[in-house]
Amino acid sequence: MRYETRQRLRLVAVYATLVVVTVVICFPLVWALVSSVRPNDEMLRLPPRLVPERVTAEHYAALLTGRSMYFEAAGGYRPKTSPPQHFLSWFFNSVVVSVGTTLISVGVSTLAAYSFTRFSFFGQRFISYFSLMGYMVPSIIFVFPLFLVMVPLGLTDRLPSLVLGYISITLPFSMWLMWAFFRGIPIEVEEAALIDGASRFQVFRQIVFPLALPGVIATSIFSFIVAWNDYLIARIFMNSISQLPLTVGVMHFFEGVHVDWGLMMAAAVLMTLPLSVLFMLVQRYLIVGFGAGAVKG
Amino acid sequence: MEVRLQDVEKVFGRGPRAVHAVRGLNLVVPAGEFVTFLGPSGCGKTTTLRMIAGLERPTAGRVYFGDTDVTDWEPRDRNIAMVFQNYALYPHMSVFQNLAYGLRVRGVETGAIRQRVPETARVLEIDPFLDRRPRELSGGQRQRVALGRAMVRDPVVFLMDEPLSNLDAKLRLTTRAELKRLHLELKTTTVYVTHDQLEAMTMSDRVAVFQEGVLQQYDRPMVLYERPVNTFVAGFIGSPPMNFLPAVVERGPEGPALRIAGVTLSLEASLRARLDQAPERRRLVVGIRPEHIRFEDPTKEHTLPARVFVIEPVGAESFVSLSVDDARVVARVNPDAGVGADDTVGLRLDPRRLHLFDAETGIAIR
Repeated sequence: MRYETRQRLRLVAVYATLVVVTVVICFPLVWALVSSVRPNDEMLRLPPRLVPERVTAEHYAALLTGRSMYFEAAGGYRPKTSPPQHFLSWFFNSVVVSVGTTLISVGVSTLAAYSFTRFSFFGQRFISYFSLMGYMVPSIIFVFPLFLVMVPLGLTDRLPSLVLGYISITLPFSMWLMWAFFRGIPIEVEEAALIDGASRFQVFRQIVFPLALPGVIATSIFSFIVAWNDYLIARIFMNSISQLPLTVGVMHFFEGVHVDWGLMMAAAVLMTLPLSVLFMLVQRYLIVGFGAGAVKG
Repeated sequence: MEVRLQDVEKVFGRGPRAVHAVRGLNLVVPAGEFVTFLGPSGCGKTTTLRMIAGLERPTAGRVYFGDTDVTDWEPRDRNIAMVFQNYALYPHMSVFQNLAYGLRVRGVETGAIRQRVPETARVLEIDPFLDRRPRELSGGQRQRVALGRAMVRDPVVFLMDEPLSNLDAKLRLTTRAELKRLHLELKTTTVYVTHDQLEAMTMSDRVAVFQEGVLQQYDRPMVLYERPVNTFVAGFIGSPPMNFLPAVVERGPEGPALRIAGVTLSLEASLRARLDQAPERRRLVVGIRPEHIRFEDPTKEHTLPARVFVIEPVGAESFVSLSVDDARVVARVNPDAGVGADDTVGLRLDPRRLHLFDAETGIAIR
């Protein structure tokens, strides 16, 4: 076989594989998106159709206004715990908890990792390596001890307990991630700034932090995703329906044998939205490596 | 500004793994001079520079700028500027911002910055790149930005840590000349660290030669070349380096003479005087620079029999490696010296240019 032909065949094979993988990954997302605008009476129709006959926004309306159309139809009866009415508070809870986790996790890990790379102190090596061990252990092992810690603190069923729980997962890895980024910044750049007349803090704020920005963003995204997607910790720590984050709250759309797929899918779409937007906003910074050009290379 | 180091010691680490990087160092860099710290890697020259910069604290001893004791001062308070081997530019800032940073953190007004930065950039011919980031510049351009960042602040002392070692050979030569010219114009006290003896010789008012944390000799370049205090300095200065031959003292009718490779060499009066007290059979090391060796007919008196090992022509001259007994000697000769590999020649060592060292200590016999 000629070289060109072989190259072309290889290219075809590569693209075919990529197409298959893309379809497999995207199909559930597309299906969720389509189902979220499908009226309930079409939902379980056989054979299933990708494109709904009629497009409706009623699921979104129910989630965002907190009214359930079933109960409306049944003569205005509205039970106090009707799940859709909590959707916005769940959303709010998730945002608060995720943002809180991210801020604390990034703040602490950045400063800690910086001290690991730039100062020497007793136990430095041990702490930096040992911190990663925590991440190796499945988080379910931490959950119950953590819960027992939260009880005397009076934090159970309150959002701060979730933030603390998530930080216990994100911090070690964030620290390790930032550590790797700081190690990539040549110490001479900082020394040059010190000689130029900057204070230690100015060096950190004006030189080190901007250079580590891709790392800060990567760490933020990691922390945010962990907090946003967690189910386990929230399921165990939280009780009141109004205090739940989205992941656990949405499970209330399973009511016994009845599953409200419309609400479920609309909620899924709304849950995915913040992360997608976040990714689109910051991916540029993730790729840009400011590091090049600092030193000879 | 004069820089004075007084009894400076630097020890890294503690206990058995401690490294004594600088020992009992006393040195004065006179105001306005270009002084080079020369030595192999790990000799303490960079550590000393960093102590002047304030990036390292001496374990003992004091550092003075003029009459002021700055030992405990932060780097930012010393008003020095430093050029790093890898340039250490701020990669997220443009060239303009790189130059302006030191002025900005020191609270210089924006108007003054707008004036001074382009001025400095023009001198270094980097003004076309003021908007670029360091990664968009070539190595030579980055080097100039690093230099500009030091110059723009008008510091009391320039510190340079092997600033040329990352440049290619050709650029290194032109930049070397430019640095020297720059010092002539600015007259700022400069401390320059290098392991390249040629840089040290060509650029400096004075050279300090370090070995294993100890200052060996500190003097003008030509003094180092002509009167090295020991075999280390003698072997470090000059390229190719000085040749060393083992010798013993002999007592002849005219006084002391030297026996090298089975041949007795009579000595100049001044050398004879130095060996006046030396006992018979005292072991010495004789140093002779490659440029002070001439080829003669091997049958002539007072020549050392040698075999040509290899000839390395470099254009204007040739370096000829020869075997003398077990020793290897390099002679710098005309390219038309008319010898070939395995030829036997007689070496005439210029008697006025012989250096005598103690065989045990390596210290020059004066």
